[in-house]
This record gives sequence, structure tokens and C-alpha cells, in this order.
Amino acid sequence: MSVSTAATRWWRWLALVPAAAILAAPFVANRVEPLIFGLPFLLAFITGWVLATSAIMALVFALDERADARAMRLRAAHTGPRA
Amino acid sequence: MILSLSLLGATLLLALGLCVSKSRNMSLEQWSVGGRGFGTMLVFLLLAGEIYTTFTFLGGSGWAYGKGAPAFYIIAYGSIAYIMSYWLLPAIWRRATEWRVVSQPEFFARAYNSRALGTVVALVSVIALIPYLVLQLKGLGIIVSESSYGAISNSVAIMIGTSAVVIYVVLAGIHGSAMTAAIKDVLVLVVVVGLGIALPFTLHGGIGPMFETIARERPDFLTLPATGLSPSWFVSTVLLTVCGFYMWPHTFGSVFSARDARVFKRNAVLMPLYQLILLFVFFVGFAALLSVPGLEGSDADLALLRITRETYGPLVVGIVGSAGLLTALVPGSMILMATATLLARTIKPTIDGAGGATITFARWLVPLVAGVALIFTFRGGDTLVTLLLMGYALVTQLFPSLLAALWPAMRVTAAGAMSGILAGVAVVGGVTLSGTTAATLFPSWPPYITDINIGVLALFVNVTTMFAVSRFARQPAFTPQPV
Repeated sequence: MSVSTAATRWWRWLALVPAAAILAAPFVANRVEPLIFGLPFLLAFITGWVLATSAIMALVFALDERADARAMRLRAAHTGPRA
Repeated sequence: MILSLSLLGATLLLALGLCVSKSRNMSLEQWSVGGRGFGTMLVFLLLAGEIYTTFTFLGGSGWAYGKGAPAFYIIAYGSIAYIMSYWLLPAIWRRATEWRVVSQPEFFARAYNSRALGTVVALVSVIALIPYLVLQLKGLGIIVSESSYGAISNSVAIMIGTSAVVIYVVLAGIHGSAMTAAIKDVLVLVVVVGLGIALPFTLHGGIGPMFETIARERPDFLTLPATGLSPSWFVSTVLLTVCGFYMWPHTFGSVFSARDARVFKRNAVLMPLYQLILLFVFFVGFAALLSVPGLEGSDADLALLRITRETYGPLVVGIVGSAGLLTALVPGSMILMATATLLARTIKPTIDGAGGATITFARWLVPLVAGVALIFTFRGGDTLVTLLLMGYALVTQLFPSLLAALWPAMRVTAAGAMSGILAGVAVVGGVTLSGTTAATLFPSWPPYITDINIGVLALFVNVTTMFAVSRFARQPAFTPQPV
């Protein structure tokens, strides 16, 4: 398998943050006030974390891509060029 | 009225025309997933096309109108499902491509090396798809009858709509859908964002003032209530829906149509943003709450079209109706096609390769399946959201066995998987048919337990049975499939 295993890809745990926040919303943000950008607080809280989901997954994706590229380079260096 | 109806008719003809112009000489594999050749953009549109259905369009605004804050669960579950998809879909895709399987039952049959399990999965999917299809047909009926200002009755509208979907599916496979899905996505985006901004501003002085008015007049409407659709209902429903999100045969099916696994990872980044158009759907529902109050029960689903009719002229009604028509037609055709293909492959499993006979058979089954859905549509009375949640409770029962198939260390056997699925489905069936809720089963228990979505109980029974049977029944151990 690849050089950098799931265990070393610590950033993957970041994906749990928005999931946990959205599930916690009804307990920590079940309020109308204050309205944020005109939205009731509960809706604004969920919306904010939906946006954060996208940002965090973009980060995870970028770091994964970088780690994949590095793993491929390492493997190529290890086995040497093939025909 | 004539103007809005002709727009609707033109949209329908355009959608049908687009699929006739395509080559009809396709293998079953191409018919169901377009021959595995789609790039990021098209898969993105296809997935979006399936996710943004009549349910989002009418059901989302209808629930915001009828229930208020509980409707926010619709925004919440998508994001969590996309996070999960980042790892789940590539794992499914890699195995499916290696095994050359194009359907969900085949995937299960291959993973557990059990034809019988494949059949059980196919049947569960078909049963789960019926309420989903009924939902689209009901939506079609609402759209056509409201856009015709009542000139076409709901039942006639449902009949016309169903015939359109059947013709559409028989004429084309996924290629017709992909092209129409692209048109639909643009149109629905323009319509939903347009209405979501224009209605609050023209009727209530803006989005903020609108919510301030609701907060004043219906103070409890913008938060979750303490009982009923309470925080524990919210969390359990979100979790259940996340588990079921990719278990639908047609969402599972679009996984097979991707060219490579990175497509899914990129989608996991993009799709949560797309999800935000749901906000505008809610705005429409809330605007309607203040302007066209009094739609009770399943009539709440009329909210979007009713407020459009009250506020704008026939031209706008026609455009909104056309967008609505496509949101029912595209997913409706996908669902119908998935159901017919599933049945065809279950009844005639021996045909491999090009599958010319199965394809013909599947096309013959399309009107049959549509007929069954039609019967249920005319019996109904449930809101679109209730129908969707019923389908989800059923289809979610496949999730534990899917995870176990991807994760051989769980050591689940074919018998375990099958008993788990059947036990879960039995609980959902019993609960749905008898109208039981946790509150009627355990009246003395506190609401934060009894409000939990009953589908979670079914899932719990499912998982327990799955592990118990796998452990204790004397079966050859599940052999891990190398990937």
C-alpha cells in the first residue's frame, strides 16, 4: 500500500468537526435570536457549518493529493525507473 | 393560464426530443449508467439532478411552511453525507470497477458471494423506491394542476405526468436524463434563487424583516419544539438519512458512471455549496407562511406554487412550473429506470454480456412499475417529506451490510447480512403499516427517547441480527475480497 497510511494522515480527522457541529446544532443553537444576516440563529448556525464543510473538505482533499503525490515519488525513487 | 400551460408543454416536448435524438443502440450497462464514460462535470450534474428533486422544490418549501425549523434537517443531512462520500464512494467504485458490476444487487451478490442476497437487496430497493416514485408523481400532479390554475385536475395531471415519464424512460436511458438534468439544474437554480429573493423582498421587505415578523407572530416556529419534531428527532433523522443517502439504487448506480475515484472527492468539496440553494427554498416556504396561510396537512406542499400564483402572472407561473416539471421528470425517470432494471435483472438473472433481452424486458417493466406507483399515488394523503422518510427508513437497512462488505474485518456472512436486512425491513414494515411510533410503544418513556426516528430502532435490530447470525450460524467465514 502507500507510504503514508491512514494513520499518518491526521488531517482526515478534521472532517469530523463539521459533522459533529451540525449534529450538535439543535442542542447548542436552538434559538431564534440573534438573527445573523437576517437568518434565525439555528438556520444561520447550520448554514455556517455547511460552508465550513466545503472549506474543510477542500483542505482535506488538497492535503490528500499532496500526500499521494509524495508517496508516488517515494515509490518511484525506491523501485527505480521502470523501462 | 394558456401561456403557463404552453410553457409546460414546450418543456415536456423539449425533454422528450432531446432523448429521441440520441442513439438507441445501447447495451444494458450503457442504458443504466451511460457506459462509465462521464467526467466530473456531468457526474456532478447527474448527482445534483438526482438530489434536487420535486422533494426539494415542493417538499422543502412545504415543510418550511407547515413545520418551520424541523425542515432545516434537509440542509443538515446533505453535508454530513458528502463528508462520508469522500471515503465511501471511492471504496465502492474501486470494487465495482474491478468486479465489473453495474448494479447494487450485483455488488452485494459479488461481495458476499451469494445470489440470494443480491435478490433480497433488489427487492428491498424496489419496495423502497415505490414511495420515492409516488413522491415524484404526486409532485407532478401538484405542479401541473397548480400551473393550469386548476383547469387540469390533480388526478388527470398525475396521469399525464406519469405517461410522460414512462415515454421518456422507454425512449432513452441515462443519456437523455443527463442532458435534461443539465437544463433542469440551470432552470431550477434560476427559479429557486429568484423566488427565494424576490418573494421576501416584494412581500415582506427583505429576508431579515420576514424572519422578524415570523419570530413575532409565531415565536416557536423558528426553533425545534421540545417534543415531537424535537432535537432528538432531528439528530436521529439526520443520521438515518445520512446512512441511506447513497443506498438508493439510482444514487448507488451513478457511482458506477464515474470515470475515476477522484471525481467523488472533488464532489465532496463542491456539493455542500450546492446544498445552499435549499436556503432559498426555505425562504419561499416562510414567505408563503405569512402571505398564503391556511394550507393544512399535505396541502402544505402546494405552498411554493400557490404563492407564485398569487404574486405573479402566468408567464412566471409557467417558468416555475416548467422547472418543477423537470425536477419531477428527471429523478422520476431515473427511479423508474432503476426499478425496472432491478426487476429485470432479478427475474432474468442469467443473461450476461450485451443483455439485449434484459434491456427489452426492462423496458416492458417500466409501464408496469409506473402503474403500481400510480395506484399508491391515488391512495396517498401523506406529505412529500413523510413519503421520503418512509423510503429512507427502508433503504437504510442496506447500509450495515454495505459497510461490512467494504470492511472484511467485521466478518459478516451472507446469512448474517441477509437476516439483518430482512429483520430491519420487517421492523420498518410493521411500524409503517400499524402506524406505531416509539411514543405509542413506550408511553412512559421521556420524549427525548420516544422522539427518536423509528428507523433507528429498525437499524439497531438490523445490526444486532447481522452480527448475531454471522457469529453463531455455522456458515463458512466471509472471505475478504482483495481490492
